[in-house]
Amino acid sequence: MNINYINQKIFVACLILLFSAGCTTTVPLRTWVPPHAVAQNIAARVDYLIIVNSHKGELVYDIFEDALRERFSALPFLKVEASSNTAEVALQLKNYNFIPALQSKGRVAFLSYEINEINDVQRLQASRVVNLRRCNNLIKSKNRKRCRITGRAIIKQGVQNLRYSQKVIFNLTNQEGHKLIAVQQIKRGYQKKGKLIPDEILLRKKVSDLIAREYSKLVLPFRKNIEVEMLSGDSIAVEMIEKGAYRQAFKRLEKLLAQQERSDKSAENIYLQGLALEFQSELSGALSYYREALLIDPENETIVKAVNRIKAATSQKNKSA
Amino acid sequence: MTFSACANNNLFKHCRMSCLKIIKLIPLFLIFGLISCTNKLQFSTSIAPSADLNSIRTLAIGDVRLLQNEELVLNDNRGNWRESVRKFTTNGLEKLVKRSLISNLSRYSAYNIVDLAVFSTIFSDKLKTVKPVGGLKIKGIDAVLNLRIGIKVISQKGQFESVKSFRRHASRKSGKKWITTEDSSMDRKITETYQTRTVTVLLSGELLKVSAGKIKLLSTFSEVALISKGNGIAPTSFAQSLAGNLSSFFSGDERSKEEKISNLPFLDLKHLTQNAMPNAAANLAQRLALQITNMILPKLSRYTVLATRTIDAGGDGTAVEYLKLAEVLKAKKRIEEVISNPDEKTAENLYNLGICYEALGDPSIAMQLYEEALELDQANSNIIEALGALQDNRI
Repeated sequence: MNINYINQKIFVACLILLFSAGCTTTVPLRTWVPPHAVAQNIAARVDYLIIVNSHKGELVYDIFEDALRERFSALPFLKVEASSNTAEVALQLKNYNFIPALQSKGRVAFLSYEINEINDVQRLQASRVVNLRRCNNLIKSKNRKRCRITGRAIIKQGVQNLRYSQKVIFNLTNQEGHKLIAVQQIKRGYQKKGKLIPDEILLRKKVSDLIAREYSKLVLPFRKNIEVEMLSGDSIAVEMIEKGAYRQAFKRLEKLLAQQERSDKSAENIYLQGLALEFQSELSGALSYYREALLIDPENETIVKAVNRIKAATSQKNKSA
Repeated sequence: MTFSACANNNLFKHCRMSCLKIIKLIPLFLIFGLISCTNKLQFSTSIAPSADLNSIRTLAIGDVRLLQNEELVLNDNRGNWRESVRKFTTNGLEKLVKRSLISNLSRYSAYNIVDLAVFSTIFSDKLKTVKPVGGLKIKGIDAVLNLRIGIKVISQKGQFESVKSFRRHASRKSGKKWITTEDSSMDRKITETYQTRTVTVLLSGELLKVSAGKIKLLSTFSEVALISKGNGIAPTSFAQSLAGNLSSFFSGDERSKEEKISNLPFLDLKHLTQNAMPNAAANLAQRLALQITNMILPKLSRYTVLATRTIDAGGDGTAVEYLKLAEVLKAKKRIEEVISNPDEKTAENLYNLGICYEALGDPSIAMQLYEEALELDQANSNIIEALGALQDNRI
């Protein structure tokens, strides 16, 4: 009887849990979150980034340049210039239906860097003294030992001791040469001791990638998985967003809202429209929809949260002071 | 149907026994029910690694530059190290990479591949007489691929000492039993040799989009690959043959079998001989070119994935039956006949036709059909799911 009673309790609890889990409509969203120091965010201040390699031809600098370019060109906030000489490519293409045109670059920033590399490899001899033993496993009495030491030997081995580190100083300036943000410094390293050690190129690449990634996270928003609350708007649009048909969801909501009178428009639907845009990484568009939703329902916490999230990620005009 | 009925029966039985068990079982039954009750069509479809690549028709291979080619020779005699650095001969690796890239990309991707250097020579005024008049139909270059390669070779060989325990075990038969007469072990200092050759390849490439007279950086990628001859294989000559298993010489080799096999191509290649002498440099250059091409291909060429779409049973019956049997062409023909009648142009039929097109490798038409179907029936979750999956796959 008692057991049945407990079982029933658990059953009810589980049902409630299932029910509530089905009801909270949060969706995992991979979106942009601002860097930790919001004042460092350059997303709203730079359109075009030129990576200045002061030591062209040195492999350390070239690898680092590639790491930076790879990192920054993957982000949607600014355009990055290619490492190949544009004039050279243009010349090659000129014979081939190509008429080079000047491109407008907007607000340009120059990123220069200095690398302090320590690559210390010590090749040493490791020697240790080892006892050589002779054992008779048939001995079973406790008084006599199975093994006895017959001699000593010195074992010699080669060993490589590697200590690698890179310290990089970043300087971001605008066209006039003024500093955009404070100078940054990042240091990372790697250690290994053994007969075989990884090669310099490998280390340079790995450490450069690591530092470039950290630097980009300092100055630009980065992607993070967060849980976003869905508001209960149009159920079909919610389903579309959940299943990944963002464009169609946006279209549907647009049509729906166009039919309604201004007073009938629900904040939920406009919020969902913004969400559909945010899923497609169109942050500025999403922001304007969230703001519109906020006008109708100024106290909705979910919408306020969304507005703050995007505001912080794209620009910091309102927060920098 | 049979499945779900069975599930209900089970549910009833279990309900008496324990309520807890049901909760565990409900999702299981649900899943079974779904699989058995809905019919799905599975097909393979190709996906571009990035959406930007879809607009590229003609890809030019631009610069292939060698940044570094060095070899470090290490000699380790029980901890007495000797080291020397020398230039590593690559035998025109740049050219080889370019050629292998052109041949492989034109085989495994849908682009027109041109060699920028060759074509700019042909089209320039230097060679007016051989300028192609007809035959070449490439209108313009959409993108340029530039590559830079760095190579560092470490050849390390030497000796080290270790203690190994040698065991002796002897037994004799007395009647039906075996009796151990000796079981002993003895430690000995021995000298072992090892030899490795590791090639570190740094590859960095950038894809430049050329359109309307502008050059725009589309994407960059850089990667490091290690090609190693493995630990402890001590070849006496170049004519090594490793029949069967890869022998591991010293106990420090803890790599898995797969790992060892993946490193095999070094040995697998036929040695190029010139006057009956093996040519190690040419051999390695070939291997490197292959490796570099393998690193680039996944970034540019489309790859195939398996897609699953639910067949909408609300559509034309004959077509649905065809689809259930995966006879896509027949189903497509049937639906196209059916929907010529405007009354039959339903969301279900359009959706099923979309599946046909997608399965036949035309996702853009499928997309249009899905959108058209969605206009007719906004709440159809099959259509929404297909649209979501299509967008997710960047087709």
